[in-house]
This record gives sequence, C-alpha cells and structure tokens, in this order.
Amino acid sequence: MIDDQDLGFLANLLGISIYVLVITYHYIIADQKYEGNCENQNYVCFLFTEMD
Amino acid sequence: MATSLESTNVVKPDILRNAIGNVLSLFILLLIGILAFSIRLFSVIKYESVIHEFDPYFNYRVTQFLIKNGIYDFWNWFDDRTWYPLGRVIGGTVYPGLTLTAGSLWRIFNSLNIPLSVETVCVFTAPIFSAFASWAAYLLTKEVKGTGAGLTAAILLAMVPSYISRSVAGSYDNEAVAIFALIFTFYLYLKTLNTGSLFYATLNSLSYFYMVCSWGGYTFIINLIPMHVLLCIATGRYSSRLYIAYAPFVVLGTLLASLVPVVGFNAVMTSEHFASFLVFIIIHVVALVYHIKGILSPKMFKVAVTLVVSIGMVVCFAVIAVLIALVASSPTKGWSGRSLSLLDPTYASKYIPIIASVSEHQPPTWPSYFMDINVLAFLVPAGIIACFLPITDASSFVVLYIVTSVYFSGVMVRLMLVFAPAACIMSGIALSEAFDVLTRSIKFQLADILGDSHSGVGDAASNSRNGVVQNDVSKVNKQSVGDKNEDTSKERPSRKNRKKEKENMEKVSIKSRIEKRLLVLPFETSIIAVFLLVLLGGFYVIHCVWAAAEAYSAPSIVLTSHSHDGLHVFDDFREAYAWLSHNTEVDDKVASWWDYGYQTTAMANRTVIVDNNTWNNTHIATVGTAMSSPEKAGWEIFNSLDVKYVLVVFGGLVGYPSDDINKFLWMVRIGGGVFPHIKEPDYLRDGQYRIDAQATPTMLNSLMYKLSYFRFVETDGKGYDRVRRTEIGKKHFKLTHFEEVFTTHHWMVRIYKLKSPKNRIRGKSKKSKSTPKASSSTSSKRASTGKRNPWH
Repeated sequence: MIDDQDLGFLANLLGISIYVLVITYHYIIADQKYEGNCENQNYVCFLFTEMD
Repeated sequence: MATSLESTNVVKPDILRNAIGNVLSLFILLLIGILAFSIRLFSVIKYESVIHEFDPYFNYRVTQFLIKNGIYDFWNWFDDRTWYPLGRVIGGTVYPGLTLTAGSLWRIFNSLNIPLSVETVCVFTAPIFSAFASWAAYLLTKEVKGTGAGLTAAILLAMVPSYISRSVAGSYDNEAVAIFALIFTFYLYLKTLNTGSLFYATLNSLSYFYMVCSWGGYTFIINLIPMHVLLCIATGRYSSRLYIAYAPFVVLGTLLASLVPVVGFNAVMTSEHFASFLVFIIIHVVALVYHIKGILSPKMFKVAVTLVVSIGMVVCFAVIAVLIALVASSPTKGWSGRSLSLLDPTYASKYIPIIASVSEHQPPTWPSYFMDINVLAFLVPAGIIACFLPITDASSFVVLYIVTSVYFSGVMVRLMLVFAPAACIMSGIALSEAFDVLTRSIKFQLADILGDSHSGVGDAASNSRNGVVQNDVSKVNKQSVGDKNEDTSKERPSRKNRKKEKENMEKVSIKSRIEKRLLVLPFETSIIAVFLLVLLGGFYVIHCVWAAAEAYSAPSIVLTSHSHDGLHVFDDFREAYAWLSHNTEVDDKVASWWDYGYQTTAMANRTVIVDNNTWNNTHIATVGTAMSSPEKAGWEIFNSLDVKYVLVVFGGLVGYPSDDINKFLWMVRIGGGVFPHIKEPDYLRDGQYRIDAQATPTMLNSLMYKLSYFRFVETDGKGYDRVRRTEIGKKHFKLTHFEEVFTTHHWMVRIYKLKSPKNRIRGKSKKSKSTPKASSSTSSKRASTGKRNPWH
C-alpha cells in the first residue's frame, strides 16, 4: 500500500498541477479587452485608461 | 459571401476556445475531486481505518442501529444505555442527515454487491462529501464571477486546512455532509436569484431541508438569506427574481424543516427563525408597493404612500411591542443557549459552564487563522474588492456571507469551518481576476512577439505591432482593430504555447474604431507575476498537505509519540473499552466524565451515566459532584445511580494533558453550579488548582484525586506527575469504597469498581451515628432503617 510520504508527494504534485491547469484555463479563455470596451467594465479598465 | 465566410471564421475560434475550455474545466474538476478525497486519507494510512474522536462514535453507533433495524425503529429509538436512568430519545434529538446519508451509501454499495462494512462507509463518507463540496463551491463561485473563479475557489476549498480538520477519513461527524449542504444551498439560492426560475427555488428548499437534517448550523442559512434579501431591498435591487428566490424558500423550507423531529415546531417558534418571517412580510410589502407604483400615477402614488405609511406604522409598532413583550418574557429572549453565546460571546462563560467548557466553543487565536486558511487570509480582502467591481446580487451575497462568517469564526473556533468556504470563494475570485489580467497580457503580447520572429508575415501594421509589444501604460497606440485582428489571426506561435496555438486563430470581431489600445500589462511583468502567483499557490498547497498529514490526521483514540527509540503507540482507550466489554456484565453501568460517554457506549457497549450530548446539566452536575466529593460521598452518589464501575482518564505517567485532572475544574464548576455545597474556592490554592503538597485538603480528599493517583507512587517511587510537573501531595493512601480492577498499560485509563456495602453483623449493636446524610444530591435507595451507615 502507499506510504504517507508518497501520498504527501502525490498530493503536493496534484495540487500544484491543478493550480497550473487553472492558470492554463484562464489563458485559453482570455479574450481581448480594449480601451473602447470600458463602458461596462471595472475599475481596472478605468486604471488603464487614466494612466495615459 | 465574403462576409458570411468572415463571420464563420469569427465564430469558429470562439466555439473552439469555449469547447476546449469546457473540456479542460471538466478535467480540472475531476482532478479536484480526486485531490479532495486523497488529501484526507493520511489518517487511514498513518494510523488505520478507524473512527476518530468522540462524537463520531455516537454517529457510528446510530448508523449501525439504523442499518440493522431499519428506518422506522431508528426514528422511534429510545436509547436506555445512556444517561442512565433517564435514557435518551435518539430519534427526536439527533440530526439524522449524516446517518441516513451513510446508511443510504451502505445500502447502495451492498445492492451493487460491493460488500463494504458499516465502519468503512462511515470512515470514508467525509472525504467523499468533501469532493462534492469542492464541486458545489465551483458551481457557487461560477454564479458569482464565472467559471475561472469557480475553478480557483474549488481547488482552494479542496485543500483548505480548516475544512480538512473536520472531514478527514474517520471524522464521521455532522459537518462532513453539512458543509456540502451549506454550499449547495447557497449555490441554488444564487442560481434562483440569477435565473428567476421556480425550479431552482424548489431545489433550493430541498437542499435546505437536507441541511436542516444534517446540522444545527442551518440557522446560519435561515438568517443569512433574509439578511441578504433585506440588503437587496435596501439598496434598491428588488426584482421579481429576488421574490422567487426568497418567498418559496421560506414557505417550503420552513415546512420541510419542521418535518425533522429534532427541529419540529422550533422552526416557527424560536427566535432564530423569526428573521426569515419578518423579511417574508417585508418582501411582500415591497412587492405590493412596486406593483401599486406601476399602476398609479406618481401623484396618486404619493398620496397612497402617505396614507398607508401612517396607518401601517401604528399597526407595526403595536405588533412589535407585543412581539418584544413575548420574546422578552423568556429568560434567553427566545434564543437557545448556543445561539445566544454567538451573539454575546461572554454569555456562555457567565451562565452556562457546560457550553463554556467545550474547547471547540472557545474563541480562536490569531495564529489559528493563518494555520487554518493560510494565504487566503490576505487574498480575502482583494476578493471583497473584486466583488464590488461590479456589484451584483450574487456578489453582494458572498460579501455578506464572508462578513458574517468572519464574525462568528471569531467567537467560536468551531465556526472557522463555516468561514473557510467563504474565504475560498473570495480568494478564488481575487486570484481569478489576477489570472485573467495576467494571462490576457501574456496571450495577446506573446502572439505579437512570436509573430515578429516569423518571416513572411509582412503587413502594413508591423510597426504598430511593435508598438503593442513595447506597450506600457504611458504609450498611446493608435491603430485599428482590424489590423490587429489580421495580425493575431496570422500568427503561428511556437511550441512554447502547447495547445494554445489554436487560440491565435481567434478574431475579435468587435469594432473597427481607431485609437484602440489593448488593455494589457507589460509582458515581462505578467510572466513574473504569474510565476509569483504560482509560488504563492505552491506555498498554500504545501502548507495544506502538511496540515492534513501532521496536524489534523490524528484519530485521538490512538496516540503516538516519537522518541529516540522509535514510535510509541498509546492504545489505552481501546484497551480499556475492550476490557470493559469482556470483563463486565452487559447491564453494568459505567460512570465517567461526559467526554467518554459516546466511546464507552459504542466500543465497550456498556450503559453510561452521562455522555457528550450534554443535554441534562443536572445529571452532569451529579457526576461532577461525585468526582469532587470525598470518597464516601462519591460512593453514595454513584451507588444511588446503580453505577458499578467508574472510569477515569489519567495522563500523569505519560504526559497526556487532556486527562480528568486537567478537566477537574469543570467538574467542580458544573457540580457547584447545581449543588451549592461544592465550592470552587475550597479546591483552589492561590487561585490555582494544585495537586502537590500545597493542594487544599478538599482537593487531596476528592474522589477524582484518589482515583487518579491511587498507587501512582509505585511507578517511580516519588509520584511525579508529568503533566502537572510536580510530585503529588498525598502519595500513600488506601481506597475504602472502591477497588481498582483495571489500569491500562500506560496508566491512561483506570477503572474502579464500587465496593459492596459490608453486611451488618448480627447480634452486635453499634451506636448509629445520628448525623443526617450530607449528600444533598440524590436520595439514597438503600432501604435501611434509620440512618445507620454500613461503613461504620
């Protein structure tokens, strides 16, 4: 049967892999946001426009 | 023709991107479920597949009964093997959700010819439901901020130490299923709020019913949701969706809640539920007002409002006055002791020592926040800010959830468990927003950077691409969107981006306005930021796995210690229960402090006097008084309760700190709370409980002292107590009313038998002492003439 050291290693590996996969998901889904699209957007959009 | 071609080209990449995203998200969810399950297996691997702690043993025993006897006997079960001689109505006092869930699981497995034992199903119920809870957190956060946030929240919840602590394999307690029910109920509420669908409203009520069946913490839901509805009304966000989300929930939910025997009419009578009814009335008033506003002209509406408000205020005040009078007439203002101690944290310590004595009910320390939620502690504020940008009904709900749960977690450390999902949701939202910006920055600048290195992609806008690559916020990039689209569509990035080259086919077909600027951060900054966030996540993962492996996997029934000569295992508790099971009669009664009641009934199968349910304060005070009294008085109290054996837990030999001597102050306080002849100052020397030579005579003569330290001096010749770190005061004494029958290997559990009274010798008359019996606690059942004491 699996050792607790091995389970710890597997859990760490799985956790970090899932984390990286989530970032990958965000990368895949990311779509372009333009300055002109700022009407319904958030403070970050405002920040971008203001710092010209 | 050309336009239709263009439109299909535009649509396809989007569909492809979403399809890949969906498949990836499903895959991630599957992995999250596997992670949530496997991280909770440390206790099984390091120790064994065993039920942990105290309360889970009761739940295990109840589940065994349910499976053996069926649901009707379980519903009507009166347990005579606990709280002797009072018994306990199990069917009416237990939250049946966990038991019914495990029972159903067992039945399903057995019908599939998978012969799992009841214990196995009970041990692994919690990890299975923690996987479900992670998925529920994904669904809930998806309703608030989208799929990306949902996935992030799910991975955080799968690993958060606070939740792990109450859901490891073996921790067969109500919270194991209740947290899943809580999150799922909140998800269905938000789904109803977002869609206005009566279908989801009904599901919401059913999920709430499951929560009511599972845990007393359901009162959190029935107060939080009305609070949110009030908030929405007050901020002008009333809508028909809000009405559909709330009104059916209150009606159906209350009806279903009253079906659960332990709740019954409390669902309509206790103050904890009044908020929901009050807001139910308010929402109807608001709905009526909106309806009338739509019908009448503005002027008429104003007249109507003035009229109604003036009449309504009068009626309102009258009703509120009556209500306040009714509620104020009850000593606890209609709230149960536990709920009141949440509102007033000092209440329990002043009035209810039993609640104050439970370690789970103490306030948490600051370091425990970092231990239990780690990096989420400083991601939560970022999440709260993200929820306001923009604010929606769903995001206002999660903000309210986190604010209330932070307060309650500060009152009682047990409620850190309710705070953990809120923290994960907030942190998930914050991290997802960060990932969104950073990955977007990388994606749409990487394409351009790589496009530069490809030859044969010349077009008029190449210099504008460079402008984008060197983008920092001070530059204004004046180029058309159309050019940009052509650039990105023509890029073929290198293998660095593994499966992402398909996304570069994507066209943003929005506008062709001039002077558009891509909203991105600088490329290198984004890469470094992503790397740092991965590092942050790595710290979190490592901490969570460590906490699961080292801190929260101990079963408490078995203790271990590492010393220079290896691992020592202390299995004294099971040794003692096994001894009881094999060496005593089935009907023998065992008295111990209430902590061990559940374990004794489950493992030793003997009748106990008090157990962890702590429903009868006087009965516990009786046992506490007996332990605090001198040997003779203690014997008389126990004898009146038909007790045959007394069990004490003693940690002085091995250094186990949670023994009965350390709990003794609660025995004195609780006993003294009901029987005034037990006075706490009699046991204190300079405000401290001491057991050394400086201890008070009352302490040294108490039954608990004697039963703990009987023959203790024989172990090392000096009687050195490793927990109190001192030599004991009274070393050599004999027991007159009890005889020692069993002491475990490490002296952790000691069992004594009550000695039978001596037979009176015929023919010799002794002057009976005419002192009246001093024990005011119970009446003696001995049918003796006069007040002759058989011991003299």
